[in-house]
Amino acid sequence: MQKVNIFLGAGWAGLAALLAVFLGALVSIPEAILIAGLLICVACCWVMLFTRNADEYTRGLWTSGASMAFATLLILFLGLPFAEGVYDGFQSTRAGTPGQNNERDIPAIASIALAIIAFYIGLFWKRMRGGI
Amino acid sequence: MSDRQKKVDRYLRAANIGTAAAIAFPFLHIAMGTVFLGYEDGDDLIIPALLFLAAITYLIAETYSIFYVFLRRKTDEFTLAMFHSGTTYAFFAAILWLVLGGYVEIFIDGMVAGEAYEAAKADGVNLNEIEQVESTDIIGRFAASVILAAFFIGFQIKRIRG
Repeated sequence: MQKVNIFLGAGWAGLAALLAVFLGALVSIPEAILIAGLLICVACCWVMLFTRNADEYTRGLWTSGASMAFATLLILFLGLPFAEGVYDGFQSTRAGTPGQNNERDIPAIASIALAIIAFYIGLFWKRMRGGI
Repeated sequence: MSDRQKKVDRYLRAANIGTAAAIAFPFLHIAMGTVFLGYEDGDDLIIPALLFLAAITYLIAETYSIFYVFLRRKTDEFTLAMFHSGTTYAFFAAILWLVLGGYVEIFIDGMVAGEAYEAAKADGVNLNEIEQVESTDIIGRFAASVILAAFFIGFQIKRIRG
């Protein structure tokens, strides 16, 4: 099997797993199945990492996805805690208890989940638009 | 020197600043932990003030560098290639750190708690009096620093390899 086909197949498999995780979360299927779906997504990313240099097209797809994921990580890790802190501070001040209950509520794992989603959006956006 | 070469030089300088900040971060963190945890009323304020200044400098340097490198990545083909190498490293560092690292942290926390439980049991401590200690959440706390460091490692590897 050619590396290009492996890369493109992994992209589809990862996207299918991601959609399955979404739909599964909506209908409340067991958590073990959701984790398995997420691990398939991650495994597909690994497969794409090792086959990304198959040709210029796959490299273009990969860089598009990775750039989108990195931009998402930057926004979430630098911007989200700041926004959350401002919101918490505003709310606690309004409630007359400034500085209380100002904790980080959005877990770090949510950021990586969104980064993986952004990766697939970037990958398939580039694929739909075509070109290198 | 052409305008384009000047732009590339500025780009590489920004990346160097970010790399230096990423290297300095662990040392800064250890120094701050040591100084601030051991601080008592009446101690000299110069070292804590200098460390605070260093922390602010780190944040400014890292933010400036990453945004400059991101916004000017299309200066030429080489800068774009370095940026893409960095994003690949950063994305995989994020997956390894946050997905697999989370399981490693839970495993280690569980192992330490189990050992403490067995030790308390052997010492005849009333197990109902043991308080549960919250996880230190090392993975979440250092995620941004690890991802930024991975980005600059990937960036510099591409730069060295050409």
